[in-house]
Amino acid sequence: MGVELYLIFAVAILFLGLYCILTKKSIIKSAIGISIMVKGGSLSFLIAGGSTAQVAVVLIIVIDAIVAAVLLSMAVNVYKHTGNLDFEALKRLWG
Amino acid sequence: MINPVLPLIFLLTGSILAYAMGRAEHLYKKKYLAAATGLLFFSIALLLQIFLATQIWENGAVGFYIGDTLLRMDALAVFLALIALTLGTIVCLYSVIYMKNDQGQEYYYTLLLLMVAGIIGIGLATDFLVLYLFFELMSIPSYALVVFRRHEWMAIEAGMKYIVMGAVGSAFAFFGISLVYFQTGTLTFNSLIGMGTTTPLLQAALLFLIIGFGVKAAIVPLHTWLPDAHSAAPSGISAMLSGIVIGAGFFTLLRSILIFTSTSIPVGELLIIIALITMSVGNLMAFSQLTHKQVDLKRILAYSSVAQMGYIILGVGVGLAYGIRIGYEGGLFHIMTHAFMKGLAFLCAGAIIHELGTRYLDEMDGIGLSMKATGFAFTLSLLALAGVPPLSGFMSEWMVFSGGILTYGVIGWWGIAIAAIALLNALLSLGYYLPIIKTLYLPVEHKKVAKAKETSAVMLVAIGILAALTIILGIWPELGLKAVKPAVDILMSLGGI
Amino acid sequence: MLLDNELLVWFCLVFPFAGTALVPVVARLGQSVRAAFAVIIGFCTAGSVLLLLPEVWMGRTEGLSYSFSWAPSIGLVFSVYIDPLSVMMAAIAGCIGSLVLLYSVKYMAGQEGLTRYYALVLLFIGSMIGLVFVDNLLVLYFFWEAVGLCSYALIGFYTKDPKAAKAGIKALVITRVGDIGFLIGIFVLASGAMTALGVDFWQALSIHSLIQNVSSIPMQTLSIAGFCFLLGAMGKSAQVPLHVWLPDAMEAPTTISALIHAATMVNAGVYLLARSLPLFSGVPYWMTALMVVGGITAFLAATMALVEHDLKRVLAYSTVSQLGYMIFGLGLLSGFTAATFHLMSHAIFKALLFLGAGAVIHSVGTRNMYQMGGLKKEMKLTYIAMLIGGLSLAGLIPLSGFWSKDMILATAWENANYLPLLFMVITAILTAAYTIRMLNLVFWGESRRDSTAHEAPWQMTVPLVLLALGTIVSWLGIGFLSRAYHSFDLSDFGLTLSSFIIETFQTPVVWISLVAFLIGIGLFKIRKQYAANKAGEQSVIIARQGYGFDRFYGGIIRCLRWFSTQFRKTHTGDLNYNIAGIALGFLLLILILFFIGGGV
Repeated sequence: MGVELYLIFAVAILFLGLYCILTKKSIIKSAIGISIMVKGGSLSFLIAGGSTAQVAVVLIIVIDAIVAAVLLSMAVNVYKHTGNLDFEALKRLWG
Repeated sequence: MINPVLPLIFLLTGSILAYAMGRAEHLYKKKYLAAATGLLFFSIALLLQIFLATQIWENGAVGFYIGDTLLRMDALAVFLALIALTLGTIVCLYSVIYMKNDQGQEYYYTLLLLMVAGIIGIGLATDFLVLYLFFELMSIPSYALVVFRRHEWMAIEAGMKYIVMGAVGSAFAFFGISLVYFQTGTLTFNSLIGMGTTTPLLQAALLFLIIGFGVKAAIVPLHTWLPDAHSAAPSGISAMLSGIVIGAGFFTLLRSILIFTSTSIPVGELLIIIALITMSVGNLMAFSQLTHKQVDLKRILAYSSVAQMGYIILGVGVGLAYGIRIGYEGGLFHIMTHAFMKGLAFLCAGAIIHELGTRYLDEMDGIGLSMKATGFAFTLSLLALAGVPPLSGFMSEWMVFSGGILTYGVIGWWGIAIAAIALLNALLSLGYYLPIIKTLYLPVEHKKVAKAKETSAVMLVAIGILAALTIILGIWPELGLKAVKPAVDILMSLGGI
Repeated sequence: MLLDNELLVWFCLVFPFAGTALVPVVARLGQSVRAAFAVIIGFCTAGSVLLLLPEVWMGRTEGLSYSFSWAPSIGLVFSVYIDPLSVMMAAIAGCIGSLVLLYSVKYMAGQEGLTRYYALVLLFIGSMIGLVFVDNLLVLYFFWEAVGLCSYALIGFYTKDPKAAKAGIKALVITRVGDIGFLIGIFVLASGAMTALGVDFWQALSIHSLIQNVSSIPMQTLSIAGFCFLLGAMGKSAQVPLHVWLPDAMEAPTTISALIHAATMVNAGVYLLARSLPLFSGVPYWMTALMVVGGITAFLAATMALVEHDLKRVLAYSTVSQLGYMIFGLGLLSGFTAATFHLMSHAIFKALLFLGAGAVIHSVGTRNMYQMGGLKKEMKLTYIAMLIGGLSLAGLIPLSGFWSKDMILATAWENANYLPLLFMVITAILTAAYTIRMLNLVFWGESRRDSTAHEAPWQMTVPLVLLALGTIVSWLGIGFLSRAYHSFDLSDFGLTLSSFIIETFQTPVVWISLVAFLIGIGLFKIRKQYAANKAGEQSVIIARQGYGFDRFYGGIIRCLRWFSTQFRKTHTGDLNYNIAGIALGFLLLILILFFIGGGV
């Protein structure tokens, strides 16, 4: 039972991250949400154990860092243009 | 025997060198150094890939171990790599002139080479982790390339949406992979395919994988980033994104769901439903663009990519579900023809936008009269997209449709319904392709259009090659099918009946 | 034998396509060279077909058949199968096409974009010949689409005229509706035949072998395919309710109208039905459907022609109406000969009428018949030509239109289809009435013009004279045609010319159709009284609006536009909503998996 409980916990983390991106209007918060989602995946790898899981977790940490870096550098540009970091500004393209 | 990872290595080396050359441009005040490097390495990789392709079609797949990780080039990988490298080389050639006044040449070509390297790697991967790694190697440069012109608001907004959605998708996919590992304890495709067990956990994994990789493949309703990103990117990049990146996204999806075909999960049927929704929404949205006050040309093309993804997925779905060979062939062939014709459309649109300085269709009346060659090539690409014979789009589209109708033998009237929906979509798509063609040849209204000159020779060469491919694949489909058929053999042996 | 048959067949196909490719090259040598080149290519094509004609029509029981492999794995085999029907269709396309080209030399002189024009016309002719020659259904579809595309490009030839561009798009989109049906039909037929006959995909697409094995194909397959083919033919041959593109296609240059109406495009649908008649004639209600569609079309289009004031649109509606006759004829038992005979005579006199109308429009400068009148004296030759064409359309003995139309009516009589026959006779009356009305408004009476008119130059009158001669004598070929059909088993009887004439006068129908002609003239006489009363006026207004078909389609498009703008609002561009889309997709997938039984 214990292992399945952990897995449910991992799913919860994943959807917690999703919920964060879904409801928050701030770019920074959405970056945090993405990181949380990825942690859900890492956790579920770790419960499974084994050497592949370790490789996977290291890999995803690196990738997550790169994505976060690119995302934040874009956020800087958004800030330069609008003066804030709000999704509300990102609504000019639609339809 | 050429090493199967050689094209990949060349691209990776090229990316480093292109960066160095880009820096050198600043130091020595020279132009085109990075571009030339990029072009050189692209062409070498393409040549190597063609050699490799002939070998692999004859002798079967070739593997290469790095540590205990197997990279394996089979016919599917050859198929993907050939398209990616051909389109990459042409776009690189086009960019030499198109991007020459942009800052940051060193980044542009580096990222372009890395993106194509990622796509080739997706084909080479034989386990989920490597697949995921290369998937990200494709995705991250594509995020950066969309915002390459970071002084433009459109690019920033589109890039922001693209990266957030892309990252969410990746997180889903990663979670799906972790579930597969959790259930089976292994991630290599070979050991997964033989398992044939269906557990609720694997079903859940399938869901996560489809959603995760589906974001990149732009299946509805995960497609909302696409119209922004594809229309805001520099046109060469739009051509890459629409032409091959979404195709590669679907390819990743396909590779990862192939392991479920031995289980009782109805993957194929799922894909058919997704396909029908995707093509309908894509076409409808593309059509609705014409009701805007200002009609954004590239946005129509972007939405048409969503619709075309629908055709691709339909073909493959029909193949997966009922083992209909022509469905597979049509789906894969459509990845190829779509790459070239949509690439062509974006390059032509780019040339026109570059010349006129506007992206709105309303201000382009009669541009086909002042830019004759570009206008003609653009018309050609639109007709091909609309599925007009004897152009390449017709060939692949009707293969897909015939796959759809051949399901009539298995599921009766449903098969006809599938084909009818697909064909009605093709009809609806005329409703936005034809007005664009019409606009190209209306009487000239704006001064800018009257003064517009034919685009530069180098860009015309790039456009000409793609136009030639669009025609050749139409009247001589066997040329393209040469790459498609061995790939379909692999799909048939894994999935289907 | 002058030339090898196989060589001739390839000539027919290679000439126009090579000509298309070469026109832009030749155009560099000068305008007159370009025109001369196109005309010569046209006549070479026509010549090759005409040399082929006696080969196929006389002394053969099996068609010429050649093939070359293109992409067999996906069903594409370029196989040619030529029987009397194909060669007749090709002869129509080639001969009328080349006359139209000759006519264009003067008619189109000085226009912009003539390289495009000549290239497309040659492509049009070539595609039509290809369409009737090939045996493989997919290759046929290939040419079918090519014909549609050429007509789209040629209808929208005057790119400066937004109405022309719109009409081109309309033609392409509406015929595409039919094409969808046709394509579905092809695949259903092929997949059914593949399983039933156990043959390869490309073999299952050969019309000839399908017809030979028709009895072993399941009826369900045949009926679906049959009605799908009918839909395709309705689009291409402008049958109600898919006829609306044809009148609008009048925005094209008049030469193109002649080409579309007489030689190429619209005949394709009738040809398809005639060709596949042996396949589907056993399908329940299929023949009846043909009769109903053809009958309704013939009648409705005739009433619309009666009230139209645009000269070319009158002719357009009359084409729709006559195509209705042909499809009606195909729907009759053993009506194959009559229908295709009518196709031939119609092609000739309709080309004549259009080219004559072109000469009139060319010299008067308007298409509105109320601004013409009294042209009889000023354009004598054109007048005589159009008179012959018009009377043939109206069905006056002994012009070709009389014989073929009468043959259709007589077949209906023999089959005891009295109610449909009555319908068609009424249509014949209306036909006579609108033809006389047209001739009256254009040529007779007082001039209502501001300017004077002039006779057309020889490049334009030569085709007129040739076509007028054709209208008078073409029916004499019925003996050859009928016997050729008989020896190919396309028709269950073979007539000689004399037996045809005798049989014609043995049935009472001939008197009915002659009386119909007279009543038609009478109807024309009382037109003023009719339009004066209230109900008459209303009916005229309704018919002028084309019975609201255009409105109906406009409504559909408006609905679609409205829906798409509403739907567009779901793409808010808000990132939160975009992410919600991902969540929604996840839920949808769970639901779909649940419903299509992703059972464990």
